[in-house]
Amino acid sequence: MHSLSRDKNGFIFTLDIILGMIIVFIIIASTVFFISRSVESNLEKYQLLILGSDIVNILDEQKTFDSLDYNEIETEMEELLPPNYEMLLRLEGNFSTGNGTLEVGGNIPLEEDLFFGRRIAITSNNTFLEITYVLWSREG
Amino acid sequence: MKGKKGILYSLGLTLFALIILTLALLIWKQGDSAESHFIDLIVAQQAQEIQTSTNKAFSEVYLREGNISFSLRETSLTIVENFPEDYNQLKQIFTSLETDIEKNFVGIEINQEKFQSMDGLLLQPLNISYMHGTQGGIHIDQNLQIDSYTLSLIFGGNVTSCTIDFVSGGSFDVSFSVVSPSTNCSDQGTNLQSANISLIAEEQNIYVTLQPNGPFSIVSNVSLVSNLTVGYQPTKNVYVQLPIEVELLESFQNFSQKTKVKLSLPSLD
Repeated sequence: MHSLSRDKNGFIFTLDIILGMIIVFIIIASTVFFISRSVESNLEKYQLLILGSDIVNILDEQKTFDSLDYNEIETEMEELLPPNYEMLLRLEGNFSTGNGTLEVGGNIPLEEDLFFGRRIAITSNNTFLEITYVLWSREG
Repeated sequence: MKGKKGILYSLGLTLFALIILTLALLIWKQGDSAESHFIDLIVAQQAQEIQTSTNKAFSEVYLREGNISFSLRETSLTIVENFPEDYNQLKQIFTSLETDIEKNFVGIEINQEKFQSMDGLLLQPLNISYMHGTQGGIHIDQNLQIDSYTLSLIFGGNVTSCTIDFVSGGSFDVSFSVVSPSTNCSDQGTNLQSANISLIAEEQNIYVTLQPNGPFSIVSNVSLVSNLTVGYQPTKNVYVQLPIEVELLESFQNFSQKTKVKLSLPSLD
């Protein structure tokens, strides 16, 4: 009788541990899930930053900023931008258009965390430009 | 006996559960660390981009406004420029560029004192300096990697005198030629110790000197086109650098990086 009671205790204790382990596995699975999602999302944001940097660099090499013309910059930018992505370029400098500020591209989605990149450019007539850019996914 | 077995199973599973829990904590911590590294990566990328684009802006202005052209190879650098050189406008643009960058980008410091005083350049990694002299002309410091100079001077006006004096007993090869509407003169020598060339054009003296051990100079205030090829030991990945320092001070990650402006020249090899 005494031995049977100990057996029952051991069995219940084991069940208890199995239940505990299930909870621990759920914790571990959710941890891995959220962390991997966060890493994926970060990598995507980093990739967007690099893509933005490449696009601005190409526009600079093509001397697209020399004109400081909204339509020309927008057309060239759209050509380089992959489908389903949007981009905003902000050019600031000592030029007369828009009192030295020109914004080209879409409206930044407010609900997303985005990374901004900045670089320096100089036009063919030696106008200094500070370029700020941001890229985001259209679906996001 | 069975009870003991149950307890042993339970203890084993408890231990296993603890291991799993520790693993979960480790993964969690690793995730935090990855997030922190990611932020570092973004900050470094942003800082790097500002520094790279600053270097690019200086390089672009120099190649456009410098009135100088380059042909870069693994064994030689050819520089063509018009004399008398005037770098005042370029220096003004550089000063203005420095002011704009430092005003708009906190953490970027530009030091162009050396360039403003000597307006020269460096061929790296050989550390060959090409400087404009205060009297007008070019000066190249002694450098053991240099083995030859090929100089062609093209004058718009007449050259009335051309004296070439080569002294052998050294290790330099020199090839020299003058082209002018009235007179052409040329000479070449191998294994030279020194060379002294004096010309008179537009009633002014022009001197080209190769001193023993290698310092080379052209002194001229006359209007001419200089085409100078400096030959050196074959070297991979040679590049031309301006003595302008761009220092990046990143406060978030607490790092700093100092680079010199590298000219964007295509290698012809």
